[in-house]
Amino acid sequence: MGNRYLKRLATLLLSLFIVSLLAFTLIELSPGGAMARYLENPKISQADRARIALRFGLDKPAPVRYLIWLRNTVQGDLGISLMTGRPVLTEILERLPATLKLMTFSFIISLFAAIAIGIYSATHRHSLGDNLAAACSFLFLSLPSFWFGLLMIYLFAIRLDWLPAGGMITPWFDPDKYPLPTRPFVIFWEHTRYLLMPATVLSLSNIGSWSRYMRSSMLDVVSQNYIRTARANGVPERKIVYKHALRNALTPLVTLVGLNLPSFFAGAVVTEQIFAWPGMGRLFISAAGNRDYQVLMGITIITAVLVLLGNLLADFLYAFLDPRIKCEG
Amino acid sequence: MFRRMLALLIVLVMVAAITASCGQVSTPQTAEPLVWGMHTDIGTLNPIFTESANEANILNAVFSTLIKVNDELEFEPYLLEEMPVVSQDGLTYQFKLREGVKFHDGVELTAEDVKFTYEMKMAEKNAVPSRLRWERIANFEIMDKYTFYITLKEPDVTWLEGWAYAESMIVPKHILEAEFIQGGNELSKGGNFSRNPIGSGPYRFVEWRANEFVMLEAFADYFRGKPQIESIVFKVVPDLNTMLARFTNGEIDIYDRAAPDHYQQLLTLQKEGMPINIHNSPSFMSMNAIFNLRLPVFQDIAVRQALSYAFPQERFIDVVLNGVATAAHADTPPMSWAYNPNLKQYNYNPEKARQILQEAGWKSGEDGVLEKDGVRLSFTINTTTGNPVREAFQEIAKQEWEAIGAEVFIQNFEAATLFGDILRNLEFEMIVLGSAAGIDPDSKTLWHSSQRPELYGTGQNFAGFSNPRIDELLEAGLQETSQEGRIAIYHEVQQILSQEVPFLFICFFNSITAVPKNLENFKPNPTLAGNTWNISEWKLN
Repeated sequence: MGNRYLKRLATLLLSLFIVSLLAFTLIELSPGGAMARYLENPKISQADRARIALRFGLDKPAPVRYLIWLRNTVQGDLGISLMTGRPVLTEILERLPATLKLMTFSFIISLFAAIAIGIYSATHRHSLGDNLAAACSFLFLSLPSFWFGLLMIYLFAIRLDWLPAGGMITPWFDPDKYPLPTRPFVIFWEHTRYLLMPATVLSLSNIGSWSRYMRSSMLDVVSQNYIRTARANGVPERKIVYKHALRNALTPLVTLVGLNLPSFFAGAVVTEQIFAWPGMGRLFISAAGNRDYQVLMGITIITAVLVLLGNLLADFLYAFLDPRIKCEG
Repeated sequence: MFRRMLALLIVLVMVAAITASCGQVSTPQTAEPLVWGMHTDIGTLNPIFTESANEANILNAVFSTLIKVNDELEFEPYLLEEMPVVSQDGLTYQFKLREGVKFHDGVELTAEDVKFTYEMKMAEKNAVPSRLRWERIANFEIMDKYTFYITLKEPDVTWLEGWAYAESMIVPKHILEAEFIQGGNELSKGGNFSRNPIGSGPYRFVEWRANEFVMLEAFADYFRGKPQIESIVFKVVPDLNTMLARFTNGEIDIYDRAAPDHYQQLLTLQKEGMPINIHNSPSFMSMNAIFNLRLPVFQDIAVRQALSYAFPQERFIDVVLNGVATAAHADTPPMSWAYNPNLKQYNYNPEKARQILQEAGWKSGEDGVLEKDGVRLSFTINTTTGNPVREAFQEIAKQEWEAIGAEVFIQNFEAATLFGDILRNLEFEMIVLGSAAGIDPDSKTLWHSSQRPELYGTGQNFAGFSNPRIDELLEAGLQETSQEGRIAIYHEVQQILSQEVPFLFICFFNSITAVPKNLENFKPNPTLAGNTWNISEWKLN
């Protein structure tokens, strides 16, 4: 048992190393260079640029810079952001809660909606509802998120004025202004009303694919022998669907969701941009545009770690849900 | 089970919504802050390290400069009692500060703080983006608490203007010196002061949530009196379409430097009754197409002049920019005191363009593209991706120029690549760029032959222009002290530029800003100072 986990750990570390090397190479190969943003400003002379490059160690050759980065990262120092001068870890950790909040909310919406739609479609196969759900799934899968986001903003924020058009919270929101009994609800709604639109936009494509998956998985299970036996034994339909069939149908979905976990941490770059959501996706975009190498490498490695851990989690969940799969290597 | 949980969730949300809205009706509200929408997040609030225009907008409220440039391009003393006195030889400036100016923590601002600002700019380990104007200082001498002398290495009439902008804002010695020493004689861009600035401006810093907003509140002891507007928030809105949406539904009060294609929509909103004022004012920002004069095809002045005649400048401004710009014929903007209104203009005339080329010996080759001495009239136009105005220029130019016998390709790059590789390595043939002029008409860095980057590594003469008369004039312009003398010099510079056309001069942009109708004293400022230059004077009625 111990050997298996050691092997797992070793594979994890090797994967991380390769990911970091690949990321570094790609960033190095991309045109422009870290000094690009200074070239636009006429007040910054050649001498200034040389001085800044020296100060941040950008004058060293690429392999040397990679090794320095590797040595520092192993010791927990992810370097300093070129854009703000703060430690990269601080920048990332500041954004992580926002991303997690958005992704969790979106995941919950997607999961609930997809499972509900999937069950309905499977139990009412070929009905009007099922066909409608199918059409909607394909629609959701094809809609570009930024376009849909802008449409939602136009509808809900401008025309109807029900929801705010972006941001995470009202800067001057002061919960102390509200009487105690209503305060938790006010706080809850304040956070939720900003989350609703971006989370919905994000969840659309997931709903589209997961509901189809759920439907076919349910159909598979429902045609199994043990379901027929249970029915024959007089077990109520409701119990068959929700207790026996659902649990088994969920297993493949768990794998699919597990594969989506990377996106959970990387953040939704386009949606965050449209809704001005201060998460990791936005950080990545501005770091990429500004060639902030340290931040880019930091985000990549942290995302890689979280992805690998996420896969581990998916494996355990899988084992939990399906007693036939125990202690897989 | 899922359905029940979903139902419960919906009920909870509804209850929250109802109670929230009830709460808003029964609880007294204080005035909501004025919200300014900014397009990108900022890196730092420490003037020592500032680089961007967005930072300048906020820094104008938190910090103070020695002088200011107002919306009519006049210098005004700000922290100073009066404008500095310059010695006969143009080397020594005498400054006298106002008395009783306080930092937000109550400590008085003195000459020591100004000297300290200079020392921080020049401190070896500090990663200051630009030392250009600070390196010109030979000596900084403090006479007493409020008076100091600065001696330059060489006379420089353009040097004073820099004191009006964000990079010259005065920082508090009594706070930053400790941070500097603690950092091992190094001030860090990401240090505590960058995130919690203390200045002497009309607004004190309250909070900065990264990527979200910066919140400021009025400073009661501001030396010109507490500002009327109690609280201001600078919100980050990365997407311009969302910016317009949030301006429309009232989440954002001020939409500064609107995209040109939003101008019509703003006008429509105004017509529909939205209580806003739309400021349409000239700026120092321009757009030009730079010829790489190192290439044989662009060395022929006939080519440059013909291409200028063949480009429909007026129509481009009317149609693509909605008239929100002025035609450019040289590098100096119309509101500058050195502007020459009598320049050679290249009014749209494709026939004349063909004629000029023909007379210069360009003949049509086998494939219809003009040729001369083995050189084809063929080139690529580069610019940044995602800029609709520049892309429109490329499309129109390609169409018009191919009609007179040229072969035009378009290749665009993302900004960091364009500036980092293409521009820096002079790998472009024709490049479309925007730029911002300073108040001073000196343009040595653009046109002087020594400022070609390939020679000494300095300068912005990307075109590779080299003209002896221009060199003479530019050098004289920096030495000349009388304004009439300088006007004559720069008039001639513009004359030569409009004749030689090292750039295809396109236009000077107007700046569009939409503000609430009840905002008084908002005065758009075309210089680098930005539109918050007089934020202490703003009033809401």
